[in-house]
Amino acid sequence: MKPTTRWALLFMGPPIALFAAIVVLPTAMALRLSFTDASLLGQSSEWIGLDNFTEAFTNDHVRKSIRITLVWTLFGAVVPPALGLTVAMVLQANSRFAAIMKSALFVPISISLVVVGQVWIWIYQPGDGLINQLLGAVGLESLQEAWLANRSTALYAVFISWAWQQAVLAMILYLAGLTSIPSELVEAARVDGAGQLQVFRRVILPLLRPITTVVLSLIAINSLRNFDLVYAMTQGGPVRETETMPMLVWRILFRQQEQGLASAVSLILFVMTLVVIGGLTWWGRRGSYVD
Amino acid sequence: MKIRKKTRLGWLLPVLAVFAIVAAACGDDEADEPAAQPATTTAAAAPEEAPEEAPTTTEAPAEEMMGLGEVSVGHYYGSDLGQQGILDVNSTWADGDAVVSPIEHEAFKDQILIALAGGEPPDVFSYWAGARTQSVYDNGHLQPITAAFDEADVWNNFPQALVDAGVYGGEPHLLPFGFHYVAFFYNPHVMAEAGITEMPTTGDELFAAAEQIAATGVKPFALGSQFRWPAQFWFDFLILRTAGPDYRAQLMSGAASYEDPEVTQALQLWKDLVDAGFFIDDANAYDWTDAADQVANGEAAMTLMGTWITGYWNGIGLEPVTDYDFFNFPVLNPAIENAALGPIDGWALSADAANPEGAMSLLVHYADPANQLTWALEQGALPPNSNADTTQLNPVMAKALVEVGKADSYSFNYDLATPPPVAEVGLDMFQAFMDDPSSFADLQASAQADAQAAFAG
Repeated sequence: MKPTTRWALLFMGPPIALFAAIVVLPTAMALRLSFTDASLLGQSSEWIGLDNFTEAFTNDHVRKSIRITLVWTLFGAVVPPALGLTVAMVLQANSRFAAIMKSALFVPISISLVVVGQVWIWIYQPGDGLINQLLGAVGLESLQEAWLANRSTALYAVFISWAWQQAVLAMILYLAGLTSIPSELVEAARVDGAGQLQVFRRVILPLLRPITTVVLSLIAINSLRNFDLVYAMTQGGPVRETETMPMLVWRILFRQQEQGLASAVSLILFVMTLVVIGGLTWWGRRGSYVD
Repeated sequence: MKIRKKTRLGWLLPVLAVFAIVAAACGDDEADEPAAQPATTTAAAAPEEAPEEAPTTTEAPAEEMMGLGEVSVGHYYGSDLGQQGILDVNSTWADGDAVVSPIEHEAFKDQILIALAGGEPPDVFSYWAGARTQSVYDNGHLQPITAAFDEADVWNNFPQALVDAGVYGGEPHLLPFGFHYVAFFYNPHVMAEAGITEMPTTGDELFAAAEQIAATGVKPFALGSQFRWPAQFWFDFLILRTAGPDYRAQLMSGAASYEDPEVTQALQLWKDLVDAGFFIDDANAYDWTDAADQVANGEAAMTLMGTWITGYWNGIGLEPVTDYDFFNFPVLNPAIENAALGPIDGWALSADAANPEGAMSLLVHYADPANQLTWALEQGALPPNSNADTTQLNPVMAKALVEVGKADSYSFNYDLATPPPVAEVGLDMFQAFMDDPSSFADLQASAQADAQAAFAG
């Protein structure tokens, strides 16, 4: 064995072993459990083949949860990045107040999602919540609503509180990306007669593509594993209208105590995550100027 | 080659040095701080280690002090009041050292399952009598506590219904520690303003009283069903009072259907009350404490809740009788027996308990009437031990105890009466009902399909 290979093994061995212990092994165990009728408290389990997956895809609650997660991820791929990029560009253009504004805008990302949830619960309160108070103050009492209890508004209400925080994550990354764009390129485009919109579409956006890939990947991961905020705000209610897949897994495992089915749904979520992240990575590399 | 050897030694020495420092540090901890052992140190291990060490004058008192050793205790009384109550009860246990791990009520439901499944549960843990304990027992995670029942003579000192609530598989597995009574808790000031001096005892009287209250601009019923379970009491009582405890037991065990006329009748009565505008708007937007606040501040007249609400109200400075009181859920069919409803909190002994001997002694301590009274007074519960000095209970709690005694039977509330996976189905149904009662026939059909699947496992 070459000395370099030995060194490589020495340095790579521990992280690979750690990765195997905390990622590969649990995934393999979840895979095994998903083919059994294991219950959380049960001492034994039987092999039932694909029954859990069949149930997962035919169960209305699971299908609804998959739909909610996909809608959430889709909106998540649009709203927070768009907001983050807009704010980042405004901040970059106005350097005078940028430092103060950045400090203020960084606050949401430093707050735990549970705290975010508590703050937004108050904002959405039916009686004395901020939104309803504002609506009342401008004479729009008819629009006042129990935002988190109404089945048609609850999902969007929770999503907005999540997007509020994720937009800051996008903004931070886009700010870093914008500062790395050579000003000569922007100036050259302007000299060539490009307007603001054209500079944005033809120069800035393409150059931000690697950052956009990172932003979308992080936000997609946060969308797909979203549990804390939903648990804190609604626990999946009202009537399972905000039950994202991680929330559903929690419910199947801890409330219904069906470990096999919970593992199967977890694996479906795992595959969804792989597909989304794989697709984003492919998209990022396909048109990246870095390549 | 020489350079290589030096390089290897260069790597080796700091590693050895760090290892030596860590080992020395660990050794010091053990020598200097025996009292600061983590909860994982089991008393059962102590006698085995003792002979290896020469007995010294300093170790003897330490062993005496430990007595039966450490007993790990997990419980769901996470509020300040609950934590203090358990500490106060444990402080008088002289036989060993109870190492307590309080966990917030909702989080406990998950945490204890993880601990049990992982084989590292606390020796003793609080749990809810009924289907939840049955589920843990069925999966072999409990051991019998017959010795504690015998020593404390639970058989004769506790009412039969509460003794039965602790018996699973023919043997005692749960020691009742406190129980609660569900009733209409009301604001006497609101009732007086509505001109209600006699509390309703029949369905018609309840409806009339609700109309009277609503006429004053106050909602008769507060309900906070955001986290589902508070709505269950309405379903429980409407079924118990119209179809009786036997039918309800069949429904809870899967022998009856959610599409039965009995269930339809109960839901229709509930719908009539909702349609009449008697419930606070957007019940699914509020938690039970919000509902308690709505009654306390006069936005609503009453709420159907357990006696634990008295602890909450006492905590915000309300006075029993003057500021709050209760009346029983009215009789809807005189031919049907008077069933009381509520949860029973108890203590269970893990099958994997590290110190079963110490745990058994602690359970005997928990069965003591004085300790049960301490807990009941601090927590707002009712003491299961009949020898507890109940003259110390506040008048509202004393009245609740009398009402339980007068009841023909005692039933667990819905989520403790049916297996956990089925309870999920019903709790969903109740929340959906409060969202839109008009579609309750659809809810019955989907609940029956889901319950059937859950019973089938």
